[in-house]
Amino acid sequence: MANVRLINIDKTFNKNKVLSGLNLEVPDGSFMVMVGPSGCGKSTALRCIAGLEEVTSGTIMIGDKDVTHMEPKDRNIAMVFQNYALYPHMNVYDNITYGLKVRGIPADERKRRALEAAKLLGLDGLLERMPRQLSGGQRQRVAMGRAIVREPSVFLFDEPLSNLDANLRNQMRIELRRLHQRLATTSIYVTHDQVEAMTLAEKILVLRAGHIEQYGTPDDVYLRPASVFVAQFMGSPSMNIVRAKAEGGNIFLPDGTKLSGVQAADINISGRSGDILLGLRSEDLIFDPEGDIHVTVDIVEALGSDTLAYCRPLSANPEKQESSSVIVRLQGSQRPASGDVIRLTARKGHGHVFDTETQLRCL
Amino acid sequence: MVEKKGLGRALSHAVLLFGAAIVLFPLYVALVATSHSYDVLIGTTPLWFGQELIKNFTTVLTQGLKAAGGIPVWVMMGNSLIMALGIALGKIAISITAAYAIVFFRFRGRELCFVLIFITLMMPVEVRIVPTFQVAANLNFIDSYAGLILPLIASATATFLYRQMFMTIPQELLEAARIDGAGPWRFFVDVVLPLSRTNTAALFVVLFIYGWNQYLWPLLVTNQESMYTVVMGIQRMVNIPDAVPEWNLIMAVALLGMLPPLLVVLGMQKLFVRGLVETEK
Repeated sequence: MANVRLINIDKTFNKNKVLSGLNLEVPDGSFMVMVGPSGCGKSTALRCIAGLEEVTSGTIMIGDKDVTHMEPKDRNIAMVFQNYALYPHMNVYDNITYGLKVRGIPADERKRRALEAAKLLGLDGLLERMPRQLSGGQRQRVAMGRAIVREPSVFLFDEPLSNLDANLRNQMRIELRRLHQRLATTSIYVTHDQVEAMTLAEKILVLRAGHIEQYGTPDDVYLRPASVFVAQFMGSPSMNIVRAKAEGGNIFLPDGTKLSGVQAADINISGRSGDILLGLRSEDLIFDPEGDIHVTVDIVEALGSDTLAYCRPLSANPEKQESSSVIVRLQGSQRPASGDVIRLTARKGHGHVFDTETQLRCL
Repeated sequence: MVEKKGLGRALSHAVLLFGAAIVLFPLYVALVATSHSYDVLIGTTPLWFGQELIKNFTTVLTQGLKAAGGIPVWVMMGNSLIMALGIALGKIAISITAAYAIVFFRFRGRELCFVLIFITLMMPVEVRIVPTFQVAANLNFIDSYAGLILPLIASATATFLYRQMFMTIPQELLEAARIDGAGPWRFFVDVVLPLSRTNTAALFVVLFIYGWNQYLWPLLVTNQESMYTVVMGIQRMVNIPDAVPEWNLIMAVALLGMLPPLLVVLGMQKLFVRGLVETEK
């Protein structure tokens, strides 16, 4: 058990700055998810914590120990890899206990821990199998078993579920949660899947091009995204961002439409006037025959429980038609046809305002 | 594979049998020759067995050819075996460690090392045989097992094969082992060696036969009959001044000389074929 602290971490690959000035504390026993688009440095950050990459500068602390220049094996961490990295020539039992064997832990102790982990992960009957005789989900469990038996102070997960099919992924996600509730070991988890991030995390770190875009609870990140990037990255479909104007406590679309649902006072920008970026999630645009926003339906995606309508605002600026298209989440039973004009209202009190220049949230 | 029926099947069997007959015929002739006394073989090639098969084999195994120094064949076969095993195992040991260093360690000049090793692939042994002999002579390697083995022990081909095989080992496996606490040596012994088991078996077979069949080098580096190897020993038996070659005995030696490589191939066939076709990852 230990917290993890990153202090001013820089990482450069051949003059390519991958991480710059990362400062971060993962509290003891918490589950932290690093999320971001590919190439944002999340895997690199994880590998630096694991000790598989040397940081260019900065300090990594695990508990009270400065581990910056320690070998991975001395950091008391365990890692689960995306492609499982099981030893193909060892059976499940040997795979799970290899780390213990290398560390010279006696055979009966190894056996006790392996059986315990196998029971926890539902691997009881599989200990004699070879990795190639296992399904993807079982291999993933073996990889976790290998991490668990080490009883490390930190678990590191590098996109562990991304090789599994969708069903299995959902199931394993729940198992991971259960496991964490049981073991309460500090965990750092890397993924590019924002659903995984939202559901697993106690804390989410959104990374972009090597720096922290936002670090907070899932609710913080979803309900109060710190920037346009976070707003659009988290949540599916991604948040609609439209240009708007704030004036006298009201918000106007570029064509002059006054929004009745979103008032400046509701979203804490009473004092502000001028151009803003208005963020509206697809579920915060409500179908309303009396609504003040008119949009033309372009493409309709029926998801069963919901219908997603990709729409163009009627009077949008013709040059910027693409950027001002919006996605609306309708009820599953509502199926407008392509080309229909529908009317919407912004849900009262919902809406995010960002600065047009800095793209940061206006408080 | 397509299962053939009727005529097609008979035809393919006929072709296979014909091919087998062509390959086996010289062996048959050698065996027949062994079963006669030497005067029968002067000027004729009998096609059916005589009476002296056992006697001739016993002669070469116990006494050897009187005219060629009288070294029993089992001594030569012993020499050949030591040389072939030394070359095969030595090549494997050197290549696998060299490839391990090239693939898994980051050091300056890594690529250069590989290129240098690779370049030697393009040079036939004969090109360097005179300087090699000079070196061997200066080191007092003449008429010794070290002289038979050491100059042939480095192998660019094997290094290259191991390198290619190691490069298919996923990077994550190495990282998982590092996190598990295995150092380079542990990783080599516990992961890399077992994973290259089938490749090693295939290489062993190929290299053993290569070593066993060495001809030119043993011819140069040995002078005493007690250090002769079978393959070159046969040549010595054929070229005896002022004597008729005793073909019945020479054929017996040739047949005995073929035996160990055959046994190695048969014994390791399963692993050998797997090593050539399968990647176990």
